[in-house]
Amino acid sequence: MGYVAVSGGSEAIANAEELLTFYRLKGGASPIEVRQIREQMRLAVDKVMSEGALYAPTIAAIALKQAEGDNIEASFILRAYRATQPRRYYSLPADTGKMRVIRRISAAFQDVPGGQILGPTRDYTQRLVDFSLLEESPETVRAFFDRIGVQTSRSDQLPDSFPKIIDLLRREGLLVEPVDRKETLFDITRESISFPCQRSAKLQSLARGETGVMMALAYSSMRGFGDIHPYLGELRVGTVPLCINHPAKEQPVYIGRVLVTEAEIISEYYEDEQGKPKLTLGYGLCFGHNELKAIAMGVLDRTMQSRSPHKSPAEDEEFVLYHIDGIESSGFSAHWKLPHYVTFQSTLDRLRRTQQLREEATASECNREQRRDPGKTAPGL
Amino acid sequence: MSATVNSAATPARQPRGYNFAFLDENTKREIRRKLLKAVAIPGYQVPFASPELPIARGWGTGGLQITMAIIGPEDVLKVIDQGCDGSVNAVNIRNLLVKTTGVDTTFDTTAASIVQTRHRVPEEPMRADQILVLQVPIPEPLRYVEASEAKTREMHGEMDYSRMWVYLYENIVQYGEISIGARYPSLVNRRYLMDPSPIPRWDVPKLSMSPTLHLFGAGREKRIYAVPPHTLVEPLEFEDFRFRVEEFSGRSCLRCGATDTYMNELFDRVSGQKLYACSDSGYCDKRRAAQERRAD
Amino acid sequence: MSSVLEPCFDRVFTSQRLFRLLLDAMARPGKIVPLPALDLDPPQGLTCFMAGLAFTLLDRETSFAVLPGCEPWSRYLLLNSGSRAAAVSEAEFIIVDGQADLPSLLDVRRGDLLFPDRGATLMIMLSGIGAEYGDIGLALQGPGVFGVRTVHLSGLCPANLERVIDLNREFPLGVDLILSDSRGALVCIPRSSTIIREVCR
Repeated sequence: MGYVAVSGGSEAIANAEELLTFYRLKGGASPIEVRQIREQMRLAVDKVMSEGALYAPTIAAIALKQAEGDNIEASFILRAYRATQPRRYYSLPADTGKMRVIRRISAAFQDVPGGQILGPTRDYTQRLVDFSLLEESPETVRAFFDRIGVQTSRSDQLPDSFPKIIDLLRREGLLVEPVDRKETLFDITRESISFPCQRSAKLQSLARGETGVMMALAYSSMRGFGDIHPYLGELRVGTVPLCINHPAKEQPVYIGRVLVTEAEIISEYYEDEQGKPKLTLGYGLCFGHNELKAIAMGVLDRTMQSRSPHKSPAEDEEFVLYHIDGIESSGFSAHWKLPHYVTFQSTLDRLRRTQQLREEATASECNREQRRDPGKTAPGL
Repeated sequence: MSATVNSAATPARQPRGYNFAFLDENTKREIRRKLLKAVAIPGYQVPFASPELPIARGWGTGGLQITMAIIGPEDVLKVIDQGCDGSVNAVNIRNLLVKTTGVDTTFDTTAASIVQTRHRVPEEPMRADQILVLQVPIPEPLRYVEASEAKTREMHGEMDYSRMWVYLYENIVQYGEISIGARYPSLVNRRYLMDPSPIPRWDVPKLSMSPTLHLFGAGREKRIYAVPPHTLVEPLEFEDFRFRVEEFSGRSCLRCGATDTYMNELFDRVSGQKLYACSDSGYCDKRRAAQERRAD
Repeated sequence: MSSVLEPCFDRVFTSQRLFRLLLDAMARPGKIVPLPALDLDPPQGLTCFMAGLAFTLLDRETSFAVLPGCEPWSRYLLLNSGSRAAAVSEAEFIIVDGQADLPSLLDVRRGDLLFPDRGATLMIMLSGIGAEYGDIGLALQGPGVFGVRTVHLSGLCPANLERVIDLNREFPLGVDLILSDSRGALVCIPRSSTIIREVCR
């Protein structure tokens, strides 16, 4: 008899956890330093901070190490850690015009005030495997720095603020004006969202959404499920200063800078409240350097403003907002690994009953046929 | 000496670094406020903030948050998954609760003050001094017929359950029977249609007019609801197509011989023969122990 | 000095204990649940019991109103819970002196059909709850009550009772009552309860 009533759950769980550590280290290479992840897996750390909704590069790096590089798992670890942190202050609105940029481009105009700043990007590199990285060593790194000269880093020469492209369009009356909805800011971590959804709640949900699913939804709209033809008005990556109001201080208190990516998506014009046709805007902003997410967020912010009576998936705010959270969707998708013996038994019960009813119905159908035509015999009887 | 409780001593086993029962007090208070509203409006889904826990969404975080918000040092806790105390997920949830509260635990339903469960209501009748906390994956019974939360909320508001009835009717036309297995839609207090969580139909009647308070938590969907004691819970049915529990007649548990429990179907590893065993492992163990005592 | 800080109130364990009593009382309308003694120093008229219940439920994410308006009570609750004082028509919790005749009770939130849980919670102080009291006897029926349960109260202005019954005429809209007296007897009457009979002695 191979049945064990109570499986050795505790022991199995403990063993599974040890096995994880074993698999992480069994190759024999020296353990990765958290600092190495933080500095050299920069974009992975940024994605984890953005989807984990906590700006904490070192903890995000630890989470990545702990999760063996699994981005969603690391984001989840960070998000769960975030939930235990007391919420002392809300930061004041950050002015991204004051961003210290490392990268800033516009696809709408060739030449823009402040100039196009390409910054660190893979956009124009050829995606060839760089086999020289196999040989990377402290010596090659030193040689690289000697060659480019660390002290003359380009970013030091850039100004502390850049004019915003959308302001140019606004000045000309081509772009919708921002609407002050006089709403109290919603806090999606303290209240569950409801529909129609406040814009602050939408933007917060998007800002911590999972990059891949946001990209897929935005892509569906660009491809044809929807009617959004976006222009990237401006994409900027850089650090913005954050301030809080402190009860003991009269002036706002500066608490530090965070690296963010911001995308402003210009799209289809609509008539504004005065009946004047104007371009519309979608806004994307996320922690860290994550251009695909910021662009997808800008597009989705815009698709959800759609006035179309026949909403495509990306235009349906409930569809978008309920499905972009990576922590929620991964948790539920993975929960099918849990035992479902009880419910499956219940389903089998219904199926067997249905099959039985079918058979009975077929049998009585045969009987009726037989009565009508006594000369005919059912096959096999 | 006056019996004031202000300076309740911190239990000795409380872990360092985390608050008692893991959640911070603000989060607990919000859940508590919502619980009172859930009890006051039986079957109605109250939205709550539902912060992340160190357990994945969809793995019992709703039930867990309710337990964390109600549990105290004097409680005795039982955690089951599929009716079983030893199931890995039950073990994991129990470990987290014990680590952060230091409470005593039990496998015996009758000895517990709080039972947290996934997919089952224990076989032994529960009492007025106990609370049953159910983990819920999908709190909305109308999801069968309507995907949009905004619309289902309106349907509940207007008590418009016509589409659910049509769904059941079409079910009968197609299959000759209502084909819903677990998660059987049930009307609470003649007002709100409720998803009783994916408990089998076997367990649904146990919720009705029971002396126990039942609390339902859906963490990922951020909803709390309740069935108070002595509250009518009626599975939807037609006069000529009655609600029916799962059929186990002629079957008995291979461990304890019970013929009146919800059973899991098993296959003997060697012979491939189909066997049955109680899904409620605590009750099954208790029956076996009693049989052994009698045999001695 | 009435506006004292209550550092002794154990927000973890006393809150938990009081909440469980509240939950039991709300789940069993009309059941008299004795509250433990609390060493608090609320301003005159506000009982320790009601103050403890308020600390259990109120925080800076909630709002409250006091009826009839009483500045020392508001200040004390604000100071010790962080909850915001709000207009009667806005507040989530209304702390009520049951004896006073309060027409503005009719202004409290009853929620709407989409979100009936937004109906207010009335926390009413009475002079006595129990069989030995009772200008008013309420026979209750509904969820949480096996058959009929009768609870006797004194110190509740009859007009207020009529107002509450009026507020709860359209279930699921309505308000939920948390009643407590000066000896620490707690009774809850959720909106799901039907008051089938009022017996005035």
